[in-house]
Amino acid sequence: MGHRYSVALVLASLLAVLSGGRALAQAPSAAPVEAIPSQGLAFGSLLPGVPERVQVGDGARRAEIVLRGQGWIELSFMLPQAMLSPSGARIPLRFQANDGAMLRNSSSGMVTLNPLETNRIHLNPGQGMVRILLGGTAFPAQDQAAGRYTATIVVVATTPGT
Amino acid sequence: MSGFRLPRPNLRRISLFVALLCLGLATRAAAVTVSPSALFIDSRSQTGTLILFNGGTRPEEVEVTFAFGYPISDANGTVNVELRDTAPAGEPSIVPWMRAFPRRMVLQPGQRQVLRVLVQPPATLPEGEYWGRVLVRSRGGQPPIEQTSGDVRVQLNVETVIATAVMFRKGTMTTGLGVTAASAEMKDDQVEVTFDVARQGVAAYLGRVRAQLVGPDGRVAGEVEDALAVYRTLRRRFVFALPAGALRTGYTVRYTFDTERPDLPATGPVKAPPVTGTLPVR
Repeated sequence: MGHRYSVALVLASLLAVLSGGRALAQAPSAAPVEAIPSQGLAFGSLLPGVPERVQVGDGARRAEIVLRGQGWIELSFMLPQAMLSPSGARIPLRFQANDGAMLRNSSSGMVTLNPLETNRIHLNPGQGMVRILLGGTAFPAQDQAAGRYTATIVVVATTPGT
Repeated sequence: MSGFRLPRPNLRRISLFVALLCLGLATRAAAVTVSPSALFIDSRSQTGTLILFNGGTRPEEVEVTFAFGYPISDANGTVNVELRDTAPAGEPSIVPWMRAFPRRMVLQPGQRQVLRVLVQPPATLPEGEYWGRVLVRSRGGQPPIEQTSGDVRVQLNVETVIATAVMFRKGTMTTGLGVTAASAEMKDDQVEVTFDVARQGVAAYLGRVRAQLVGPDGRVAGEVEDALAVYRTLRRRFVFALPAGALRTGYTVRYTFDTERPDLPATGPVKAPPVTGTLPVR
């Protein structure tokens, strides 16, 4: 048995609320669109040199962002390639086209959502909230150096058609 | 959160556990909103305002920066706004002359803040429309996310950026839209409609596209409507799904492009005559 690192890595999920008045063909007073993180991305225990993937279908470990409001919103993700230490050591991360999904409600199926592209999402209060789901892969090194590793996930919101 | 001893004593002991970072797990998380959703500034006033509001339950640290970017599309009609610190050569960027007051702030829960955006280009700037984006970056409001265990520490910063379009206008603005190519194709049980459009005039075309799929019996079998921003050229693609058993021939697509955008400030979009047309579905 090789090194065993216990790593439960949680990509902090995505804070915040993105913007107001984002709606197509509706009054400017329409309800703001919000994106609220509800669950982080947890890689759990990592073995040195063994990639660890969180599948988007893994309800316990995937990241989730709840969208609420009315109208359209365009979401894109600026996803880190690695967590870095000041000395330059890395814990690489990878996000793929099939690492994202959207869930309209608990009884509907997941719809694939590519986190590498801009995603246009329509929100309808009558249909409840929309959950954005995100998985990913971490690549711990065989001899992962000690240090402080940081990374940033940026969620960019824009109003469609501007 | 816990670490544990590694099985071999000569091995580096690294255990790191970052607890679920718990943003918004039990309570509502940070919630900064920005309005309006686009900013139109003329060369006489040289200023515009955005309203920032923290509707969350924690203070929000906010930073304002600028970038250049506008919607572009790929061969599939997928639209993307690529943000750049500096604009490519030849692009009408207003970014070098943009300033914001304040640039940094902490918004308390429930606090509203006026953000003033000032654009001061040289007086010799030629007439035309110039583009930029205000980026409102939020990074506060979250509980501590750095965890230490053994000799490895992990910190994951999460930021939200709201990118608001800015149009700076000098002189008389005109805009329009030309459909340079359009097609409607029957593919299995759906109709794919593709529009290639190009902006005319000097200002970005901020409008909408509406399309209807008309069946052989003259009835509307499907409708789409979407916002549209054409800064130079754009490809948009829409799909109409046909119900099982529906006829597969004799359809047409009616479309209209216009500049009706009630979601934007009334003085924002430059008006242009509607562009309409009909496509046979092949």
